Amino acid sequence: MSSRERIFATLYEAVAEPVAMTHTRPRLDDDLIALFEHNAQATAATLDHVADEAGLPDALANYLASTNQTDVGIAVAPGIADLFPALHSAPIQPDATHPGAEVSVTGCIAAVAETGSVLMASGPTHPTTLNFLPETHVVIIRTNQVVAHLEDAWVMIETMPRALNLITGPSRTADIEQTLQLGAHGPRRLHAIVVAG
Amino acid sequence: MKFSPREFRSQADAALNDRTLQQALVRARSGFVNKRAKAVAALPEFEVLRAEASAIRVDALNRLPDLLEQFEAGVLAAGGQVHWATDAAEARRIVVGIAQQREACRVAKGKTMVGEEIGINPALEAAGINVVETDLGEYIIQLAQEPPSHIVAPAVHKTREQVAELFAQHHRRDERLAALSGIPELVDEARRVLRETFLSADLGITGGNFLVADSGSVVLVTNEGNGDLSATLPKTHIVIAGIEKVVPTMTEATTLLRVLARSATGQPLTTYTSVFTGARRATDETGPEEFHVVLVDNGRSAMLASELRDMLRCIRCGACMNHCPVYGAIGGHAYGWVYPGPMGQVLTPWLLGPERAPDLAHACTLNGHCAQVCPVGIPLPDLIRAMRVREHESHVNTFAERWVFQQWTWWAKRPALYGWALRAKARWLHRLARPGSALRRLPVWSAWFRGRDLPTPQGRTLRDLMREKLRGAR
Ligand code: SF4
Repeated sequence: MSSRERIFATLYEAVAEPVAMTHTRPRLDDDLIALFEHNAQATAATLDHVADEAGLPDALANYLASTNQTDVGIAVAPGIADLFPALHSAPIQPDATHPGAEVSVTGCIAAVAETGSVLMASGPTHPTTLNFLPETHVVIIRTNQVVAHLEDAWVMIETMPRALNLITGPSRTADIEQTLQLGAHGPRRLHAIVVAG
Repeated sequence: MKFSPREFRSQADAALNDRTLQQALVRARSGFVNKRAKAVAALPEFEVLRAEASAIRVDALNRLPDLLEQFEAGVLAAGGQVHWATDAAEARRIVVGIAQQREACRVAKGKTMVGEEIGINPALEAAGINVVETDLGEYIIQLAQEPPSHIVAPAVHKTREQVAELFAQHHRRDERLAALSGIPELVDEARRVLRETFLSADLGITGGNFLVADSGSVVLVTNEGNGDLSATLPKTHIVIAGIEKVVPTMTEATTLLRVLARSATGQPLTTYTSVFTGARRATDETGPEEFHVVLVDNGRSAMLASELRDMLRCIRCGACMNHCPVYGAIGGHAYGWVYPGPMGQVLTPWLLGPERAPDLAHACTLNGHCAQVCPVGIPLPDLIRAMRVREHESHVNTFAERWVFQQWTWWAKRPALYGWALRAKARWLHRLARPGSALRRLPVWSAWFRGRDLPTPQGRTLRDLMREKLRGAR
């Protein structure tokens, strides 16, 4: 008998009836965009707004200047590269000798008001490394991408990609003396630029 | 440092006398308890969600084989592989086997409690493979060569000075490190060192918080991002998970997510909630080329068929230990193994055998606080009591203890006689004790009194008082 068969033989003996279940979602304020922004800021993410896509390059440049990140390598996700026509994207995949970009700019699948999270799906237009390797992650969000609950974000996914990353604020740790410190292994800064429309 | 569940008493003694540890415990306890309380207060639906989360886990356990078959099919369909391990040794063999086949030299490892349970690190190291823990807490205790003392915050017992010392010893950059004392600098230092690990590792190992049956996905939650880097950069990604972790769909996983982080760290959600399904797709630029899930039984299927079944609902949030007065006094190492606190008092004797952890089930006042906070409603005190029964039946407790219980049973079965004896004893104890003070010793009972006082008996028994009260009420 294989290990699998042996495990299943024991498991089948302990089977019981299914349980009737309900599914509750937390009640949320009506203004989802305001709620998203409030919750995102509570996780130490920062926010900016632009009226349309044309405003994005300037908003990015301003943000980087305001955080003293001039002269840095910027990697733009292929899916939104046309929004930043003047940027020469740095290589995405680093190796031991090349640290890769310090800043990544990506889109998202959805922004979740309930938790202030953004949902990323891996694929040719959005390599997962962009979400984790840089020091700063800039996320472009369209207001019509803001959904209420986590469940509403999952349904945007038709087929599961290799990796879904639901990101709620910048990387953090409290492993030393329970003291919160941002930028453990992932980005130190998560900046969302919200585009109307 | 070596700890063993068999040495619970001496380890607990040592912990009580360890000043630094006591400071760390006080800080940790109030931190965790307050954060959870705040998070729970901020979500009016919390208790409803907690009940639903319990039902989800009970339901999943009730039809575990079906869900596991579905999960397996999902992983295969997404291009991954599933391995089944009946026990820890088989799980180690499987993981080491994959590593050797891929000629892996270096493993970037995310935190996995079941990985600790099966002892995967020593097995990989014995095979000549370098293993680096990448969760900061796990990394710290790996350097210190200690087991985790908490399932969520493994290095919660360490002070910043101790961490600075460890880094200075191991990172070999003495002058600069001597100056490292602030927490931000220490975190930065770990980030720098571990980034090299991520970029050079050829195998990534992580745990899994939930297995999603309908899509064959693995849900992993972390705050640091180390789990994702371990899962993304190396060529091969291995997930080690207990077979009980499966849930039907993302909907159920979502309810569990809503209670998990709030119970653990007081966050509405951890920073990173990731869902891995299969290996990288043909068009992907990043991600592992191979994806393996090692499903570990190691006593779980047998537990499911036992009276301790409910323990398998556990989602490893750590709330039970954070709210446990015994854990709060002695910390996690005293329990001697991977799982400390109330959940460990059930899991450890079960997984290792009661004879290897004879005292754990008794290190409990049955105050019930753990069950009140457990996000999946595990009746921990009942299970700890059931474990005591089990130990009694398997004769692991001492002869003296068994003798006392046998005597007590004899009296307790004769209520009239019992009442009479109790009244006599209460009166005798009352005469023995100085009024207002507690009893500090009794002949023969010196061992029992070593860690306890007996409040002065008032000379009357509870039965007397009740009888009087009832009479008064009439
Ligand atoms: S037993 Fe409950 S409270 Fe303790 S770790 Fe498991 S889920 Fe959390």
